[in-house]
Amino acid sequence: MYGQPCELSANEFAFSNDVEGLGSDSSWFDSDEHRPKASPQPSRSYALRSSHLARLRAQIEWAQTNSDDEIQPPSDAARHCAKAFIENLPHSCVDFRLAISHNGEINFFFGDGAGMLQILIDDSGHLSFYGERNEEFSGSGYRAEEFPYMQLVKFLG
Amino acid sequence: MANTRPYTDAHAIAMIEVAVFFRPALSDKDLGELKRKMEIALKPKGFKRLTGKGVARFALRGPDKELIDEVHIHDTMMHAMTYEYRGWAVFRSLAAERLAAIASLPISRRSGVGLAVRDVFVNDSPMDYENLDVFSPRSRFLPAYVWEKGSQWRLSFTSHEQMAEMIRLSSTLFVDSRAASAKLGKDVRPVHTAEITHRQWYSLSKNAVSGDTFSDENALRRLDALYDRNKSLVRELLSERMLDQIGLKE
Repeated sequence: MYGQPCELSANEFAFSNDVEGLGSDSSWFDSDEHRPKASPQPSRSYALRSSHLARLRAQIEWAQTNSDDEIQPPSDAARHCAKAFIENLPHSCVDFRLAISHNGEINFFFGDGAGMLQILIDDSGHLSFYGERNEEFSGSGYRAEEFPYMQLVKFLG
Repeated sequence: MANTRPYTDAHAIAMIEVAVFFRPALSDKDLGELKRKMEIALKPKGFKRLTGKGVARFALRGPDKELIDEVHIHDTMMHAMTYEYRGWAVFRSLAAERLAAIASLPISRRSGVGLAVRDVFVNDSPMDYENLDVFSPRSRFLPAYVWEKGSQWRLSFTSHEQMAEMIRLSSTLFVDSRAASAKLGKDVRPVHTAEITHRQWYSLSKNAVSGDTFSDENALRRLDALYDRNKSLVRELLSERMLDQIGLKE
């Protein structure tokens, strides 16, 4: 049953009063015809995060299509980790550069010059990172869910 | 032809929402307590409480003051909307946080859980819009008249399905293909948008006893099922090209 398309029937609206077992508040069940429409454009940070995800997808597809002795595409573990890392990044940390190495490592660069932070995902799907501004920010062997995102916010300050 | 794009480069989700329903409706005392607990949970995360009568509304804004998250508490439900979708795992953990904030209410008061997803597709040259840009001609959800209507039409379906354990699964699908306008700085330009809003909710039958039907763990499991159902619906509704663009052919 789960995972199957809904069996939708007639062309009719849902009514809160007609929904068994629910309260009288109709705001959730009313037709979306009367709700505010979505803005036709996403916010800047949403657009930026999404463009990183699209670029990651495109670069991995390219590497998979063109893999040979010299180009190794990222592993599934690395791909999943990179996607989860981008999705978990706080809203203020979505300004970075993304690069995939010939050996399948996925790299993220925040800032530039001496204060640049580099984050690398290896083929086992673990994160390592190093950066130094006023103090060192480094670590290795993290899963995307374990990465210290709040410390990243502080480091990028 | 083919100028229509998903809402973002990676996917088309403009809004995703979780709702938890209460029965009987909360008393003023319970409602006040819940609002207070929610405020304590949300304030450290940067949410601001908005003024207004009746419904308690909390909002989180991003670096450019854009609306990112909202939580509303009514006497019969709590619902949380996210306008920046960051993958199911992140959304699911947000839903778990919202459920934790209502832990002071007996689980037996929870009478349902719902998920809504709004996908948006935009064409910057409205005259070029064609339904085939977005929708699959093979979709069983789209009747023949849609293909004859051109670029502006609306479609709405509702279904109710009795599940086991005195639980009902209800769904509404609303599709709105229309002329719209987008702001770019001071300029306003015409665009075409195709919006797909899919609401689904599990609810207890009238005289059923809740027990732990919608405990945190069970509610999240049901949200997983609703999410999978939404993906299946989107896969059936959209064109191959659009599925490719939003990563659903991965």
